[in-house]
Amino acid sequence: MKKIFSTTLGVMASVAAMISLNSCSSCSQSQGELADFEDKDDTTLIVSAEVVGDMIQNISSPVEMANEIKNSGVQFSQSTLNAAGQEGKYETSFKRAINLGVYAADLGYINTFGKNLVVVDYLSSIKRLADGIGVGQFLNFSLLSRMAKDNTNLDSLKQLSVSSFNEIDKYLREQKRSNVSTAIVVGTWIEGIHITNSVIEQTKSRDLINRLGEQKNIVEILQIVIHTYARSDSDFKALAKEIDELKAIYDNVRITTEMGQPVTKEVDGMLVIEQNEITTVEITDEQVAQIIAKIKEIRAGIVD
Amino acid sequence: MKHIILALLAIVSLMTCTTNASAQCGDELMKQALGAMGNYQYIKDFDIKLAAGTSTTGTKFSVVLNSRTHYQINIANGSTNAEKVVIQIFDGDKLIGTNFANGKTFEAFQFICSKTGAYKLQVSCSGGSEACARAVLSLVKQYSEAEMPK
Repeated sequence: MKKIFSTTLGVMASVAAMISLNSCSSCSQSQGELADFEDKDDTTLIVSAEVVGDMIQNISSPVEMANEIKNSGVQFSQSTLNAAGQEGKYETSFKRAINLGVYAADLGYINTFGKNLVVVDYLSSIKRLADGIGVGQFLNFSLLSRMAKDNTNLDSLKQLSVSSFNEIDKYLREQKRSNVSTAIVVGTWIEGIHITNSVIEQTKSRDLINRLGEQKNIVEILQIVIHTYARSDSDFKALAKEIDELKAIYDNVRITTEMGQPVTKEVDGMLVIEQNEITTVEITDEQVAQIIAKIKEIRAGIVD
Repeated sequence: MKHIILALLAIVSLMTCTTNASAQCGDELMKQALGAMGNYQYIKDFDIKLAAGTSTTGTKFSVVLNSRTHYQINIANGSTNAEKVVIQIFDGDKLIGTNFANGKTFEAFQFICSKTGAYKLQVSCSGGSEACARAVLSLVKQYSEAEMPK
């Protein structure tokens, strides 16, 4: 007999499981340019830095978001993105980090649509913001720019862009600067949802609306992580208030999972595992509109 | 004197092991895993290092995976590994699958995810020997609701 249960419980179980994880990292203290991040390091967190890292890793993959949008058949829309060249107005480390995340999502979107002429402008902004928070060394700007300008080997350009951000994330966590990493991840997630929402408004795509609804699980994780820093950092405190309001909207979205047994099979020599669960998202048009409006508001506070 | 020589030998031996480990477990492994990934789209990589005696319990990574999405994981094992690493995917406490199947350890496997959420990758070696590996997660395909394999 199949069981249906609330996915919220699943998320809570996942978070609890992650809290119990043991992670290994040798960490040295390095604050560098981050003097204005109020939470100086990870030592005062409610949840440890390792757990925060486990909880938030890969929450927002620009690759998956951009692909899903491209698959929906819509045209590339540069006006949806944060315009390149805005980095000069982001004067605090928090603003630089969260907008670095915003630009990372924009870059993923641009790369997926192969708009190489735009890439270099965004890379310039990304490089300046990354330098501003002491992680510019992980972005090989000249190589990335050359690959974009040559318009060859686009897969390598995409791969190198994504792996550079993964390296930044790894480095920040090793340096006990997971607050900075979290700000980047939040920026990437918000921008990814913002771009998705713009496509939902155009197409009313049921697949994308369901994807938006499924973010309920992610918002629950983000809320925990952001509140971890909000105790001692006023930027995170303000962000936590916004995420709480977003979470309140998501509380009315219902996600149910019909349990099934996973199946493993060998197909042409490749091992394939199928999860075989059926997730159902119940989200009304009104809830979609509320979420879109709230995301717009949060994003405006980040990029403006 | 004998103790000093033994100590020096031990230090040299340790340094040699470290150098070998670095050579066997560094960027070359990443290149191998990326090469095996083929034309799929890179999402993330995992740097796997298992110390001797702890590899039966292994190490863990968390990753958020999306519904209606077909992923592939390619694993490049260190050339000095006594055995290949085994990756298990957990949704909470529920084991979804593993690359050890049909009596062999596969160096690549695919996962068709039907529920968005945080998953746990548990990496281990059954024999508990020291091992290193690099695993690359890539995107194979995103399905619409109608396309999802039944």
